Amino acid sequence: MIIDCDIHVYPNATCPLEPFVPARFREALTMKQGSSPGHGYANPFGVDRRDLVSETPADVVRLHLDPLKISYGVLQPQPGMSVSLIHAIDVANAMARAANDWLIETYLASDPRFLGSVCINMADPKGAAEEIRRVGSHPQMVQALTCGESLHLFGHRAYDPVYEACCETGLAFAVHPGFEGALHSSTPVGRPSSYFEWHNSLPLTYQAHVGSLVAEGTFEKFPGLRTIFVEGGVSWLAPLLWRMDKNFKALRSTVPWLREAPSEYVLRHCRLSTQPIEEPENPEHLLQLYAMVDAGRTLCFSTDFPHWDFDDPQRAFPSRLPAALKQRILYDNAAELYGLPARAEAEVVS
Amino acid sequence: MAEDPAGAPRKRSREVVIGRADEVPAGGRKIVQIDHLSIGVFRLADGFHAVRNYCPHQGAELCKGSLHGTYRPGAVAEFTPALDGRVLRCPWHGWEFDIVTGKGLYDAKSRVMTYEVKVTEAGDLVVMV
Repeated sequence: MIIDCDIHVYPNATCPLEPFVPARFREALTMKQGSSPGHGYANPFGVDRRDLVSETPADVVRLHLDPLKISYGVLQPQPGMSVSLIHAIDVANAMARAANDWLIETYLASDPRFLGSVCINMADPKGAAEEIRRVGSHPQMVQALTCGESLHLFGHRAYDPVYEACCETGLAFAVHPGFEGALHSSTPVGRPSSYFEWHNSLPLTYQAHVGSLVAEGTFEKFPGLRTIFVEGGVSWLAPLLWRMDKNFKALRSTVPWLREAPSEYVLRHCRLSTQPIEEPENPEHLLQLYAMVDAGRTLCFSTDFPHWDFDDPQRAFPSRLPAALKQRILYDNAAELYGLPARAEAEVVS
Repeated sequence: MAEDPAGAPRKRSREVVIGRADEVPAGGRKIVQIDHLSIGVFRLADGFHAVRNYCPHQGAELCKGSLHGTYRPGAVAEFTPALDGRVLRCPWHGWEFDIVTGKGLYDAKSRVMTYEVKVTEAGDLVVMV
């Protein structure tokens, strides 16, 4: 059994967003009040796989869930995931609402294997919390979603209402990359000159947010908060854990609200999706990397369907990945994160 | 990116007619199934070339990818166009292959299998497998 934690879906002509935009905001959209800054880096070859076109719920089932035998797929809708970047805050809230109603009425209504993300506007934490409470109780909604590009680091106390609402509704807090560079440079020392370099830099955002959530005491304030950092790969985490734990020994008194080693908070509260899977020349190195981050607890499989850096569940992992660990990554960790049924004990992942 | 004898199609003896040469326009392709093999036959300016329809990375149907040119490795800040129209980019992850030699452009050790293609006097398109 497989849970795919990252499937992309989009409104289009056959599955339009417009009917879900609150009526009083339609005029604002025609006045282009829904605009947001771009990061400025285009993939020269497009971001979608070129061997298929996926435009409807039926397409995702036929091209992805069925052939790959995916038990549950967590949908990451766009443009909903980046509404936090829309300049006009009220329009951003309206677009979050539209994205969520669109997802519920189209994908979630069509197949129980589809799980949803409540898209939220982090630029208005109170509004985001209201939206989480409005639709977060839908039985297929499993997480609140925003992009990694953000006004503040996610440990900032301004975001506490969001985390409070997540805990109250039982949703995980999910972050997806891809918009770095819209508000800040994607690296702390300046803007890269190519899409290649920009894409390489994306895990830096995750290191910053995870370090912030730990240091600001977010997990002390919200002990029930669970987070997932999607599509950042895995390799960035171990060096952060080690650096935090080392520094904690001398600098603990500067963050006196932390009651245990920083890595303990991360391993308990943070999950990572596997894609884009690292592909070191020696596959053994990937297994070592997984051991360093306690992959049996922390890693959740994802494909990124239908994007260009897609991972196939049967082809992406080294053949020497132990079967028991593979089962944890392909299903169990995400099932525990999202409160989904446990895998049948006898079931074995091929 | 000089021609490498190791990149030349292997000699194979079985001739399989896969259609008519004139059904594949310049810049076009035909993907055919021959026993267990799926093979893409491409018509470039210099004639026909065939590669296996299987990416050595994760097994995607390579021959459904797009054809491009590329840039030859060169000095910093130098952009020298090369291999115009003969670079096949995998539809999944965008890895580049030269369909004339089968070589991966990202790693000299990587390649996709190539097959010799002939056009008979009668205009049949023949793949050697």
